[in-house]
Amino acid sequence: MKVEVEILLIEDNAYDAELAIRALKKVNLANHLVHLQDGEEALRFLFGNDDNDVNKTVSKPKLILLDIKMPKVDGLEVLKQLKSDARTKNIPVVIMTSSQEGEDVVKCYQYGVNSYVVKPLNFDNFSKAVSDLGLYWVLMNHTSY
Amino acid sequence: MQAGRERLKNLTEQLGTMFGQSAQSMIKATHAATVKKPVQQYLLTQQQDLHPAVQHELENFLKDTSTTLVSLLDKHFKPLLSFPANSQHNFLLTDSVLFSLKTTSQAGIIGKFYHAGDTMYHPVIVPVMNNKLPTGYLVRWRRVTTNPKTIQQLSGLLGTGATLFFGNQDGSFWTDLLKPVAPFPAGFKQDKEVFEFTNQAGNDVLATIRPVSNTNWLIMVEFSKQKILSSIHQSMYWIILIGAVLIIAGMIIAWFISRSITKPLNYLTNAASAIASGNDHTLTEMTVRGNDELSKLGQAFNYMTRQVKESRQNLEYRINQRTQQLQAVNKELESFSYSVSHDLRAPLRAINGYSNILEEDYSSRLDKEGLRLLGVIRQNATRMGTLIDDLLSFSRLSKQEIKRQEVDMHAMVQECLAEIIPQDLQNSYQVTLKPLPKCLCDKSMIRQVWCNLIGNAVKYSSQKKEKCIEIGSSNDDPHKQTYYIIDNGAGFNMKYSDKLFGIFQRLHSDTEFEGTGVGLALVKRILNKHDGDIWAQSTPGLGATFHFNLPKSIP
Repeated sequence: MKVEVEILLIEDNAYDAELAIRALKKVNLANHLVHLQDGEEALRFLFGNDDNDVNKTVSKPKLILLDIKMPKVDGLEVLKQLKSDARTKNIPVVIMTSSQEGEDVVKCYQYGVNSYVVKPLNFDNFSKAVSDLGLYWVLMNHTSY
Repeated sequence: MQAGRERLKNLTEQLGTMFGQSAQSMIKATHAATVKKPVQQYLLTQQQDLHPAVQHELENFLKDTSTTLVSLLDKHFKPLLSFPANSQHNFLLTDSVLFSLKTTSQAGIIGKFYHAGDTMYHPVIVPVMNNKLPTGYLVRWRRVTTNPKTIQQLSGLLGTGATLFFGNQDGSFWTDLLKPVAPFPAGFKQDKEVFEFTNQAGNDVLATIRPVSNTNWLIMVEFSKQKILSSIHQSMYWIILIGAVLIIAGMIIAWFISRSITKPLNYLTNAASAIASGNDHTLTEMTVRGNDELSKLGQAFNYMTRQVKESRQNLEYRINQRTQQLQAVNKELESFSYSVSHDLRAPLRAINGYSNILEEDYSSRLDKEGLRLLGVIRQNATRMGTLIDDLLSFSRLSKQEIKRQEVDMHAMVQECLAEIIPQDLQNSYQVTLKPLPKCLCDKSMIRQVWCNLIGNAVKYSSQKKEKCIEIGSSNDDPHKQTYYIIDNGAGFNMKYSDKLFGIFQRLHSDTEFEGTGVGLALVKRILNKHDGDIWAQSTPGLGATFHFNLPKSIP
């Protein structure tokens, strides 16, 4: 039986990922966490190999933490596909990025992002931000599925 | 008038000569009869039997109808024979014509006029010579038979206004060849000079008189002064007319020439001002004809126009090229700043985070020095993060557009003060805030200006026992609103004032006062973008004053 995925972390930077996972672990949210390294992997994970089969059930995590700048398929493209597909558009997606570019923020909200968070530079702040996000979206937020 | 006199003189002389010659030919024709044998012998012998032969010779002359009487006289002027016999014209042989006979030379002469009523006669007298001595005289009387048509033709020959008169040498008789006319007043000299007088018709005339050779005649030519004057007037009229035509033609030619000069010159003037004002894109080259100075100027001007156009096009091309290059560079710079903001911060976060993990998980195994070193690493990572953020906000400013709105400066400064001065220190700072007028500016940008300036004032006066900050405004520029902030902090040496607003330029060491050297550069950039400016005065150790101004209206 397939393990229910609660948090899908899509982050190409291994150190950022480790720091984020550590922060989530501290609040006991890392048990059902999957970490993927780029957008291509993420799309394959969500839609499977055959992404043309619209009836195929997809895994629906309670939260997707998505970085923007990634190799191959970037975060914006992943977000766009997720939010334009009926099966995945209800999954909460939070962009976690270093970019403070106004253009990125605007685009993300146009594509239908649920939240946009700039990664704090300070470790304490970063840890707090990640754990707060996890606590809110996984424990407090009620999904439609 | 002088020309008329000359003409009159010449004419009279020519006429005199002409009539003299015709008189001579008349004399010659008459002379032919005098050498005939019967005539010669009759005068020597006066034999009756010679009559028929003489008569035959003399009657030959009567074939000429104007000859009215032919007489043969002996050497004492006594008439011997006359034909036609019993002529009613015998009265002609009167004493009154003897004068002519007496003055007759060997060659013969035409004698004085004689008139009976309106009919005029004149004799042709030729001596009959034998051994160079006159033996008798042949007198042939002719009637003056000139008709008006001849006179008219003659007048035509003489020219308009000229009248011809003949007269006897003694002035006793004058005729216009048609009829006798009244004698002219005596005293006219026959010296071929021109004289003036009023004739019987009452006209003022010019006239000359000269004798006709081979005759006892005078010839007089009379010019009407009025006619001369009128002809002069007429020629004056023509001269004036021709002059006027010439003047008008000259004016027209001058107009055309001046037009052909001024038209291209006008074109040149307009074209030059078009080039000067930069409106030369519609300019066409002018047509140049000929090879004169003006067309050379035109050619030179055309050449210049081409050059100006070419160089302008060249310039535009280069400007476009540079603009494209600049745009490319700008784009690169943008993606660079994006990369910096994204990629440079990730390793910093890692350094920060992992040193934090180290501290959390392994602090028990690290001694005090180890923990201090870890702290230095984290501190520097944080500082680098601040530097990157400052740099980013500075470069982002260049892209940002100003959104002007009315800003309550007083409220804004109060906010900034509350934000910057830590709550627990608010009593230790003596802040004087004077009323600040509102301003048209970009709210968030000017907020950054105030925050940076207030932050500096707080920072650099933090080491003073009494910390004073004064914020206010002055109104010494009609177009700009000036604000100032005074602190009694560390101040700076005016020697380095030019470095004050440069990016990453610091006048204090980091150990004295923390900072990245971006704040004032950012402030200056914001104000310059607003068409405002910033300047500062300071005395080291006594504090600094920063003034900045902003336009009162939108430029």
